[in-house]
Amino acid sequence: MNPDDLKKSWQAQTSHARLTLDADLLLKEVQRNQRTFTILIFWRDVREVVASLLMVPVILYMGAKIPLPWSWYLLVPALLWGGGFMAADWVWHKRSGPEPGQSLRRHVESSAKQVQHQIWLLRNVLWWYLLPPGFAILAFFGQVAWMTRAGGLKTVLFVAGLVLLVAAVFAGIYWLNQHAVRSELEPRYRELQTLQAGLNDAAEGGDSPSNPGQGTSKPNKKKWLGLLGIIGLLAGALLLLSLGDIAPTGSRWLAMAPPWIIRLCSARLDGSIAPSRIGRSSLPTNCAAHKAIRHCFSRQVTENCTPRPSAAITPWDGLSSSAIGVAEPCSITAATTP
Amino acid sequence: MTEPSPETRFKQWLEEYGGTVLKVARAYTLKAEDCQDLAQEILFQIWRSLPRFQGRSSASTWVYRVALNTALGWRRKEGRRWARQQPLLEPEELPDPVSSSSGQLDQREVVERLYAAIRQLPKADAALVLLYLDDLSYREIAEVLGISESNVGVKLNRAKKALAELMKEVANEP
Repeated sequence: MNPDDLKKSWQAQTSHARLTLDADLLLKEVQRNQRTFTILIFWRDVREVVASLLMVPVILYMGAKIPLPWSWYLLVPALLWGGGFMAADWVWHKRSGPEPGQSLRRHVESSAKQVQHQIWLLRNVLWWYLLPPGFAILAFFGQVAWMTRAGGLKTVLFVAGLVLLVAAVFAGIYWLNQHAVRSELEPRYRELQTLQAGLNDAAEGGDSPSNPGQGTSKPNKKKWLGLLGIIGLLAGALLLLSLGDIAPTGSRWLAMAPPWIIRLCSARLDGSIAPSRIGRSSLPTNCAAHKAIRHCFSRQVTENCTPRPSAAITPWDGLSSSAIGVAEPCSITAATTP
Repeated sequence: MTEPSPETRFKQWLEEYGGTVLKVARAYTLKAEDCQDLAQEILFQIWRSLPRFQGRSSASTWVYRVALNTALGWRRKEGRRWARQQPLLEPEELPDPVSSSSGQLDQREVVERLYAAIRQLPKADAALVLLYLDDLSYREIAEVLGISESNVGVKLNRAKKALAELMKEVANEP
């Protein structure tokens, strides 16, 4: 059968088949879909930016409500950086996306560029998305570990567990992103490159599609080693701290405890509340507060403490940690314990 | 003369190019439901593209561009958007009053074989063959694909040969 016969048969099908449709209904449906689609695309593009920015007031609120060490606030610039990066990228690359009415060749070219950029973004997700909050969280854990180093190996294990948990979550996010690159974006990019090669001039037609960012398609071992190195350093520092007998500083918890704990503690040191009146159940669940109370009571019960004069402690109102002498809430008069 | 509203233009295009949309959708899908999903997606993209249509190219070139761009980038999971809906368009077979019933059957068989062969071609070649079979000129094909007319000639010759080979293979299949 020659090509002209094929053409005839092909064109004859138009007279054999037609589309049955209700144009008004279809139009309505298409318009409804357009609205849904616009909303969907908008939220897909902004949800992570919005999520990052919404986290900032939460972090600030938590920092104010539960007195947390200064390193907690490192999360704020980290989140702002992540959200800002995504927003800037979205604005910058929105213009270069493919348009439905472009010629096939231009459409394929812009689609390939877009996919290539997505691949670049996801391959480097560690640097722009994971590491900034990762460092902030590690710094926070590091500071907390330093403040609780008196707790010994248990504290070290607890903090190390938290670090590993966060590292596992981050590694999971990283793996998911790399999986998306391997399973969806790279095949799509290769497909687009094949199409591009098919549409290129005859002289260029034989070009074989290359791999986007060839040579870096395998997961970069250096990145993993870097991340593991940071975790290792932190774990090592924690271990060293737990082994070394550096001055027990449970009183540091007092510096972090909420004012009502400080008042409670000062009242206890003042002798106005007997230890028996404060049951286990009344201990606050907040870690810092719990530690503060434990520190406050254990020092007086296990060591022969002489509480400072109440005037110096100034109980109940307007207390600051320095006013009640949190660095050394009671002076030890005898080294022996009962 | 005033410009027609997007709604009016869309309906006009549906009337004129509904068959083209269907052919492109059929050429790039295997199953009937996928074909419907893709056809609806193409119509949706045509609607989306309407505000950008400035009349610098012909309506047919525009529709072919949108249809092929959508078909080449379409993945089955994208069809889920339409999957929950009642199909809004349905291909309908019409009796041909002129040709004999055996002639019709022959032609239909040829068309089926053509679709089967086109689906096996590389996607860019399939687009080229579709445009050729729809009797577009080299200039129009070049406009739709964004390549030079001479390149259209070279590529079309290759694609036609490949299509002829595939047609033979398809015919030999049980």
